[in-house]
Amino acid sequence: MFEIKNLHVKINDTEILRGIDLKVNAGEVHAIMGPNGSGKSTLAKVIAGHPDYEVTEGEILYEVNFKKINVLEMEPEERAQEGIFLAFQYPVEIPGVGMSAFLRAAFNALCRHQGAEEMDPMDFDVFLRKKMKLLAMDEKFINRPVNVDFSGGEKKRNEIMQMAVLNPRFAVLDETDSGLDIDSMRIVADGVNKLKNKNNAMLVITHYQRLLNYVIPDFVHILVDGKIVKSSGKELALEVEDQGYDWLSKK
Amino acid sequence: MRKEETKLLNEKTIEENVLTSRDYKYGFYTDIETDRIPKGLSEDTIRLISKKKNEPDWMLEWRLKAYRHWLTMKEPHWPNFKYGPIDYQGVSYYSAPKKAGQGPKSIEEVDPELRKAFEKLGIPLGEQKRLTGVAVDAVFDSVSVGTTHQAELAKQGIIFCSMSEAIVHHGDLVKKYMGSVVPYSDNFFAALNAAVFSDGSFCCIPKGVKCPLELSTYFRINAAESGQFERTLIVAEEGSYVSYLEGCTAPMRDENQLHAAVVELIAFDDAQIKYSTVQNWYSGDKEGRGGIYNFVTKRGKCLGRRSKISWTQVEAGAAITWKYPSCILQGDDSVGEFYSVALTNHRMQADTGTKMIHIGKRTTSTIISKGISSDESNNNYRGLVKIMPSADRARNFSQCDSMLVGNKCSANTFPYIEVKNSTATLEHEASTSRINAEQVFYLKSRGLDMEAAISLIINGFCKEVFNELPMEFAVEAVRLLQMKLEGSVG
Amino acid sequence: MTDTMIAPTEKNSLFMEQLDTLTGPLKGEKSPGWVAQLREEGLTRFRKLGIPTVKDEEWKYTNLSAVAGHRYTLSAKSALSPAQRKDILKRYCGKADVNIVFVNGAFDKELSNLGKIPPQGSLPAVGIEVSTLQEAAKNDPAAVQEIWAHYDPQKDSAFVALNKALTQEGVYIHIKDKIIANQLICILHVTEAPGEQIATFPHAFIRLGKSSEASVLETHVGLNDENIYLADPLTDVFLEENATLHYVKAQKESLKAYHVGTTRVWQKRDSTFNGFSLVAGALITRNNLDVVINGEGAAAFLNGLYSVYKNQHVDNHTSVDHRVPKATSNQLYKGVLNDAARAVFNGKIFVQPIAQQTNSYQLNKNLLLGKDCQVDTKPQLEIFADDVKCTHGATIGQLNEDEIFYLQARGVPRKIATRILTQGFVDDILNRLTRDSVREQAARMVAPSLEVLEG
Repeated sequence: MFEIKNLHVKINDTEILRGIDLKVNAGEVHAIMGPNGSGKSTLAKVIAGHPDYEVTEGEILYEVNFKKINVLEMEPEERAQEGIFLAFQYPVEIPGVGMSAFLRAAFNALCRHQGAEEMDPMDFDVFLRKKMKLLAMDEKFINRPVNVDFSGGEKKRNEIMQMAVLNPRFAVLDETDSGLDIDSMRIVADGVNKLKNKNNAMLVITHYQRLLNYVIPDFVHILVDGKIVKSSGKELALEVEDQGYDWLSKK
Repeated sequence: MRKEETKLLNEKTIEENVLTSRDYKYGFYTDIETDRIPKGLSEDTIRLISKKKNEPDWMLEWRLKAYRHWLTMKEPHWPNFKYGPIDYQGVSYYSAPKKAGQGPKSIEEVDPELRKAFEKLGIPLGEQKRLTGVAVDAVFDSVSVGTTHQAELAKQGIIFCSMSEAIVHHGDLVKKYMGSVVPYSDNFFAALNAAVFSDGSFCCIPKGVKCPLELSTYFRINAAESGQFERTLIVAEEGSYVSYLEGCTAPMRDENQLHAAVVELIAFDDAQIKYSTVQNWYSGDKEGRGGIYNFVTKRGKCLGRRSKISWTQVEAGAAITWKYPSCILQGDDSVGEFYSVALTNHRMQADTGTKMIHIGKRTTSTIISKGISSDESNNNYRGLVKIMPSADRARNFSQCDSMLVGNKCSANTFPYIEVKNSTATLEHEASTSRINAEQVFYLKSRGLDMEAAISLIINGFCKEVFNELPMEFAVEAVRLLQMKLEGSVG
Repeated sequence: MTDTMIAPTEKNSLFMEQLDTLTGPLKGEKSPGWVAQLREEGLTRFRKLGIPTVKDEEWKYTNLSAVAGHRYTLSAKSALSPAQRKDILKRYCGKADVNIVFVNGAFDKELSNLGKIPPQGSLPAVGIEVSTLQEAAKNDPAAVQEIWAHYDPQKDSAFVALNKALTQEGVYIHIKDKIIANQLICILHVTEAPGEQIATFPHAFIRLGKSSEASVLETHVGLNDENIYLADPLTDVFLEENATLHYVKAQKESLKAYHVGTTRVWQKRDSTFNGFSLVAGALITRNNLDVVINGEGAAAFLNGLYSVYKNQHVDNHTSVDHRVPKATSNQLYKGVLNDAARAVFNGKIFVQPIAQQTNSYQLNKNLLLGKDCQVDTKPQLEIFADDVKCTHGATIGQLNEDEIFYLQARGVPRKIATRILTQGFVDDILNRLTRDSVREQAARMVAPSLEVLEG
């Protein structure tokens, strides 16, 4: 359902991704691991359509209604409306913009796109509270500005909560586990697992192997210097946890 | 729950009312026969205006006194604020649609052309189409062309009419209060207004009455080479309440036009006046040609104990705005509030803020000001909080935030705080930031398009102010700001 | 918007008249042409501006008509008694510090220890050069002249112009590249001239070379609270790339004195100006602190404490001009007002169009303890760039009643509770002075204004 072909990406004339190939089928969980600076977050942002990155070569194909479309030609919001979701590594704070107003606007944009009826404010309120419970988020957040004065763990939970609201078909989790204590990480992982089904797929980007004990990947890819240097099953995660990345990059 | 519900509804409407037009949609001109006096300003001009309006002698005398004082004054200029010379002799000080004739008429008699013009502005005057819950006084150039719901209001003893009508029919009230808050000697433009004002609204809410309707005046400058000099006076007697709205537009023209208004509010014991403005005068084109000079003196006096005056303004138009709606907090425990959003784009200049003068004991004031500047505009907040020696335990909270969009605009903050009583407590905060590309990307990655993202951010930035506006105005305000900012953010 | 107390023009003219008398003795001085030229420039500029009045926006809240109403002399006949000299050494001159002392405007060689620390001749060898301005003007005129090259004489304020016209003594400090000066450099101005009304115009010039670091304490004290005098000091600071200056200006003039001082700071790339302004008063104090940030990555910290009582008036004007991107400025000014004291704070932050990614913060907090004290504060942001983060704030209020009550509930009498909490308010900012001896001196200087609390 999602395929990256020979993707090359530059930022400010520095090449960060140097030919990525990746194929993800519905129902699969793929993990991408790699040392700092290997291009993991760049990949996540390019998939979501961040304007700072320049794609110099390659394509990203995504299947919508049995048709392959080129994601790179779409605006970020169009990608989101087609069900591509990015859980940010560093979610930005948006002062003054309330969580519920923001998510309802996003949710209704999605509804409009799918030709579905929009949800009225009262129903949405109930819906949102349910999703927050799923991530063990305090209801007080419903009236708070997006991410403002949230702790690190709260921000990450909020990302997954938004994923629960928008129910994407293809989700990219960018270091969602970094900086979390073990309890928060379990909550996040539980949330992710509940959202997993045979019709959707996930790309889990992580620096540590820890999360992958909870969200079990079908495939693990190692990204070093902008290239996938090794792909294998879930056991690869343990291998790099033990041995680091050096043995892979020197090859 | 009820409140929650309205709030949610409010947000829904605001988000979903996305306007596609990028242009100033009020820029049309209504071709209508006018009664207009020749350009120029002299004592004779003033006598002529006064005569046209059948004014009593005391009114003419007051005008002339103001005029003579004005001759001794100097046009104000500030370093951050530039305008070319104004030719006070190049303006016609009275222009009225001919068929409006003299004196008030029933709304049904208003010239259909005029009614059409107001309908186009979204202000239907006709009985069937009237806005629900809102009584409107429609002012076209120099005169009021009609006031709706008068009879209904009169049942409760509420006077709501044009100023011309008030001078004739409620002369004693006008004589007593006019100039008691803004004396003609107050400043250059207030003096000019006192000399030549042509119309405006007058409103008096009797003791204990809560005005059931929103009262509103809609100001329209239509004629070229004319100015608008209206004067509004609102008196709220003991324990009464009124919410008043004001809207303004003008056609697009290459030359600048002067709008120098005066608004006076008086609140007695336990009375409350809420005054809201959505100002969208024509602001000139991208190069700064044309537009209205909006030089306005607005001041309220909390005369009574526990009285409250609350100003809310959305300033989105005019080439230059010079306006400081103020409160004189004279009664003990009285309350003054100022909520403002000022948006500037193109080459607009706005210098706006408030003055809170604390005289009575335990008086409190709140100032929330949000400035948004884009393109090559200049947006200043200028405010004064003054605690007089008599104002024991006075309190003030001020917050002035600016948002910059693009790197050719500027935002300045000049808050003056003068404390002459040591029991006062004041807090002032200000910040300047910009619409951040990362914020926009975050919103887009959740499926919102550019327009929705901008309106959400604006709404978030200005929320404290929009919450103070009546619903219809809040929606209009967000639309207005969003329309003006499109193309500047990205 | 103002109290319209306009300085009577006759007073102003009295001051203008005496300019000739004041400049008279300077005409005979054997100084090089460029000095005379500077004087003339200053004099012309000052004659044009005159003593500012409250009609001038910059002087809206500070009325100088009293300053203008005296006749001043440039030098004093009085001399310090041996006991006073001993006391000064004890109180203000640390043995390990470099001390440059001026009494009634004149350099006092004996109280200073310029010759006693490493001898003059060897100073350049260690890279720390401290001398009188006259000496420096003789030895290295080019360096001294350069001071003026940075500023447009047509923009000099009245008191900078006046200083330029009448300055006779001063200090020249130059720290060479990469030198870390460990010892504190103290500039001390003592005024003690009973019955005479003297006016002093000292000029200090502090230049730090690349990656150098130094600490300078500039102190102004009056020994006798009955003395009437005018101090118009000017300090110019130039920081080269990556230099760090810790600079404290501490001032406790006589209760009848006037102090109108200016400090100008010019910062290059990655330099740090860590400034602190302490005002324990004069009758009227006006301090201008103008920082120009002219290099990326530079940082300016402007901290201040003013604690005044009786009928003292203190006016702090700060201005930080961000002319380049990526610089930081941070200001915290705190004030304690007792009796009928009056404080003015005006903090300007300019962010020029190219100064993107500026981060600027400013806060002014005032504690009103006296019944008749007054505050006028005007934090001011003028921002012409968009990618900036600027915040300013001001608070004016009393001690927190809950905190007082908490202490009372633990058995502390109200008066002492008030004193403790006020001390806390003061210490919070004094603790930003990291050098013990400086912090202790600052605490001693503000003590009298806080003692009234115990009365």
